[in-house]
Amino acid sequence: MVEMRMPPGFGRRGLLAGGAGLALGGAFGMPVMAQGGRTLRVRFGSDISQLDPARIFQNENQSIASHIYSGLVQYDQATNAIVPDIATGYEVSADGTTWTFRLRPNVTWHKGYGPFTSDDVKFSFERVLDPATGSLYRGQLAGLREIQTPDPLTVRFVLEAANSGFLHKLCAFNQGWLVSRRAVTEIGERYSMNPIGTGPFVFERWTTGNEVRLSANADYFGGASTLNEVVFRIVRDETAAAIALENRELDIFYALQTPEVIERLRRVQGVSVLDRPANNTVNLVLNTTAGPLRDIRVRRAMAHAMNRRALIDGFFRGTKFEATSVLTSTFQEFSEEGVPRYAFDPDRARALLREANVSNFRFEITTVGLNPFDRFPVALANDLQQVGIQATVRVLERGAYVQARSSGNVQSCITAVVGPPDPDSPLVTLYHTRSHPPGLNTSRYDRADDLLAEAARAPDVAARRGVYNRLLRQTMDDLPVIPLYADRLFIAHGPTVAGFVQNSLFTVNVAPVSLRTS
Amino acid sequence: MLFHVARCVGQLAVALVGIVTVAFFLMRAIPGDPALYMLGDFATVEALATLRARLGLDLPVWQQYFVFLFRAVQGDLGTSVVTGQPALTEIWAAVPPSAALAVSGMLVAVVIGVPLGVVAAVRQGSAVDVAVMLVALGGISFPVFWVGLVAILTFSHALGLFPALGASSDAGFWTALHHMVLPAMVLGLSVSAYIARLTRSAMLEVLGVDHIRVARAMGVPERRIVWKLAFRNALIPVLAVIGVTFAWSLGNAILVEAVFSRPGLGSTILKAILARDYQLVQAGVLVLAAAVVLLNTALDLLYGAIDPRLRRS
Amino acid sequence: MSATAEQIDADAEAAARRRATFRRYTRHPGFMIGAIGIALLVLVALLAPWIAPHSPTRTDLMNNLAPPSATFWLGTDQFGRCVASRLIHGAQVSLQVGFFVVLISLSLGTVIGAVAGYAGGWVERALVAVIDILLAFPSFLLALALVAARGNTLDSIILAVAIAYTPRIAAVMRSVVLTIRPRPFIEASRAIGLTPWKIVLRHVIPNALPPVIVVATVSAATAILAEAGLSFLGLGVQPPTPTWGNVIAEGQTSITSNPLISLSAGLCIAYTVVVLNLLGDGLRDTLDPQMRRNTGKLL
Repeated sequence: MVEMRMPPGFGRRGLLAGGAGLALGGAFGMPVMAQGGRTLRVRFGSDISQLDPARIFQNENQSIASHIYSGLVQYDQATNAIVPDIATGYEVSADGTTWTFRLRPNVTWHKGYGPFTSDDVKFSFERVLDPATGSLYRGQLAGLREIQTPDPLTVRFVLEAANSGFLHKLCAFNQGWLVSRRAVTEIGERYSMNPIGTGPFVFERWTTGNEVRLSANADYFGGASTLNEVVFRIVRDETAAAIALENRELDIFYALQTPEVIERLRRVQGVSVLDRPANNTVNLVLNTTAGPLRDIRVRRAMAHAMNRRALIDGFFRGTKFEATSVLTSTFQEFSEEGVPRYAFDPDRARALLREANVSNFRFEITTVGLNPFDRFPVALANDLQQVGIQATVRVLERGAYVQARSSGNVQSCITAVVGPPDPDSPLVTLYHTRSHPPGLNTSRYDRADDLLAEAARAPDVAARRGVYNRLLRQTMDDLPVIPLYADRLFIAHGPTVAGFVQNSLFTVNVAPVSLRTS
Repeated sequence: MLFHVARCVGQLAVALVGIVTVAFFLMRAIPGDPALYMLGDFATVEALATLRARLGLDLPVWQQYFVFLFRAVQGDLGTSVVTGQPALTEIWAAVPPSAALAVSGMLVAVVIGVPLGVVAAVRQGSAVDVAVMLVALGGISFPVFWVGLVAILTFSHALGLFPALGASSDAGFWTALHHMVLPAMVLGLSVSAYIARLTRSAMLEVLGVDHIRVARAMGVPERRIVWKLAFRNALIPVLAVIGVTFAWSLGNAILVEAVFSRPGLGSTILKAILARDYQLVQAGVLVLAAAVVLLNTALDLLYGAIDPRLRRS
Repeated sequence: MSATAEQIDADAEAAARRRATFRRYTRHPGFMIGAIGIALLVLVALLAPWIAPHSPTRTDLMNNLAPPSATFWLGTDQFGRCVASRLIHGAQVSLQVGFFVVLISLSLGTVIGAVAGYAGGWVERALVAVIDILLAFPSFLLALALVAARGNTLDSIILAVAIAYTPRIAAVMRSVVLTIRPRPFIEASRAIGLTPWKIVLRHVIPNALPPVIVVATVSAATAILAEAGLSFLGLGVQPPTPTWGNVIAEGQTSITSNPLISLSAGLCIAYTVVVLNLLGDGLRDTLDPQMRRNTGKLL
């Protein structure tokens, strides 16, 4: 028996894509047509480093990749629902172990790398699974037994066991981005900076530390962009970027973080400031194997000592949200009933510390030298000092930070797990024993594996939510990780940008954007 | 003559090997791991080991050094860990914007600094002299990036005269020039202060020399004395300071590039240091140091052209 | 033991010489402004805990980015800390950076330069080669790499900047020593059989020191600027330490709404650099008017 499962809205994208230019043109003023000058300039806060989907990480890399590559399915930018990309439809066998996808015909790879076929899909995922590739996302495809290609436009995934979250793993993000067998083989070592995809934009060139250029893919299956070119300019300082946006040196301001700059841009005529809750929280990860932090009372005392409300309202000026666990309300599986909370209560914190008989406790928060992570921990350290913990902050530049954290020899560190709205992304990363250092489970927490496995076996979203709720209650009770705030993403754009949609993935995608004369 | 040139080349080669050696071991002394930087937060142990082996990072450091030297002699400075492109190609791409900034900054510095220094020397002890020297002192006293911030606030934000980004993504000479004004001024101002001070003291010394006094006694017009006789002789110390401040202004250029979001050698090397991109740092430092050494050699030759007496030594 | 007439004469003469020297210093306006300026700064740094109206590190998030007022003279920063207090305490750190950088680079550079200048032969050639190599590095870049290597604590920043600026001092020292080497008193000490090390320590270094001290004064200024530059690039002293560089960098995000934070910290740095330079110029003129040429080139 073959069961057909289609999320609502499946297929809508294809319809919309066909008439994209028309639909957008009708909705937003008049797009600038023809004769050059249709270059969109986007601000990046830092440089890219890697565009190979098997190894990709970091928002800037993922933002560029999202323009170049397609996946079988993708997250809708606006709703996070999973919608088709290169696949036109899929079927799941009754036992939930065989997933068959029909592929869109006549899709070609960029720069003359030939037609796209099911063999490329097989190659893409087998490459991630091959230990020799050294992919970061091999674990994501655990439980995938085999990939079959009955014909060039059909691909079939055979799983060890049913997995209701499997579609997330195939979404156009990280390991879900499809690569060309021919391109990867022929380009070899240099592929990571010479990416070939089937997406709406073609990679042109990258000037280290300065800019990345993409040109529109005239043959894009979803309809070619009305833009000729997109330039991602690296402008580190947000104040300078804001001035450049006002002066029309830039069109889109990505990774807008600083509250003062957000406040200011909101008052500028012609500039639109968009915001959206992100899929991630920012957390203080405590090493539960080190000194007084072994004591649960000490960890709870710290949660009570830190004025997270003031951090959000004062330092961030209300630009972030409160976090009750490491999941945010953007996840379908999010829940907060029964999850313990820790209100700001310095007296309670002092009492807990007395009870745990802790005195003269030296505590160091290790953090990375990127805005705002190099700043806000200062306020937390100050709060901890008020209850008698000798807290200090150690800011490391990124290379040293990654090294220190992956060694596992940090008392605590600031970690945010940015990713798709797949709860496994933060939960496995922060709590599973598989993620012990060099992974990000630097608390060395070891009581979540069973619940995570149970969640993967759960047949539907409701059941998954139930299991995840138990996990959230337990982890917030044990408190190896203190969520500090739920992130919120800000992007600003100038008056000539039309049709921009902000996603919750912490990336920027300008595929639907057009420019109009102001 | 041929022997002289050969000797120069030999010295240059020794200097460059020395520089690269310093850069090589300095980078290895920095904690951090290019493989980890590349693979980031979700790196697995096996993935790290695979990449380290591919990059040759599993060899002992001294072995890596000789491998590096052996290849460098053949003109291969390795490939950038981050980008997979040859390191030298990456660095060459950063040279034009850096050279443009360095040259225009130096131009601003000389155009402002030399006349100020001459005027101050001629009017020694007057209010003009004091004013010029105070301005010159101010010029070297403010952090260069701070001056850059103030310049952006004033000229881009408040007045809207010049772009806040010190480089344009569009081609075109005039656009490029328009974008270059603020960075060149900011870099140039700090150097011009040194040049003004040096020009002043060199001029003072020359103006006191016998043949100038004789010329003055013979009734040669003052303007002619200052510009024809004295300035010509004061030129050598001024050239010398250009040579000395060049390396220093390359250091300042890192900050100017950062403030104005400009591409260039400084920012490329800074980024490479932070990314533990060993090959890129080595290539960058080599090119940078070679530029400094070559400039100084060229200046030495120029002194000879200006003052034949210096040729013998 | 009673003093003889000669001794009294000699004492009087020495006293007169001291008075003359003193007059030479006090009559130099640049030197006086510089010296008083530095003295003021040292005073502020020493008395910081008593002068500063608030704690430089105590945060108050609900009162952040407040405008200047009677309680907060220069307003508060993004953590609600008193900017004025941070600048006052910042004087301590900046002066420490200046002082220790000079101390380290002066001791290292003097010895290396003196040995390089005096030794001759292959030792000289080797040392000169090393100095030249390091001089071809932009010293700021060298400091930056060293900070990345050793982490951004105050100690390692001081050490990094000191090492980066040592070659310059060594180069000046050597060039001065070269002018001293042929002088008769060196010949004489060699003739009476002093070891080269003793000659260097007892005669060469003391005689060559004045120009190097001038360079050192200016190096202190350069070091303070370098610390600020490192902070700007995110490699400065660990927060919440109040350094002027940190105050500029932290104030940068709110520079359009609260420009006073970054501007005032920049002015503090400029003030310090100006008085140090005036002091250096004054020392140069009064210590030895002839050495303008020797040191001028490297400033």
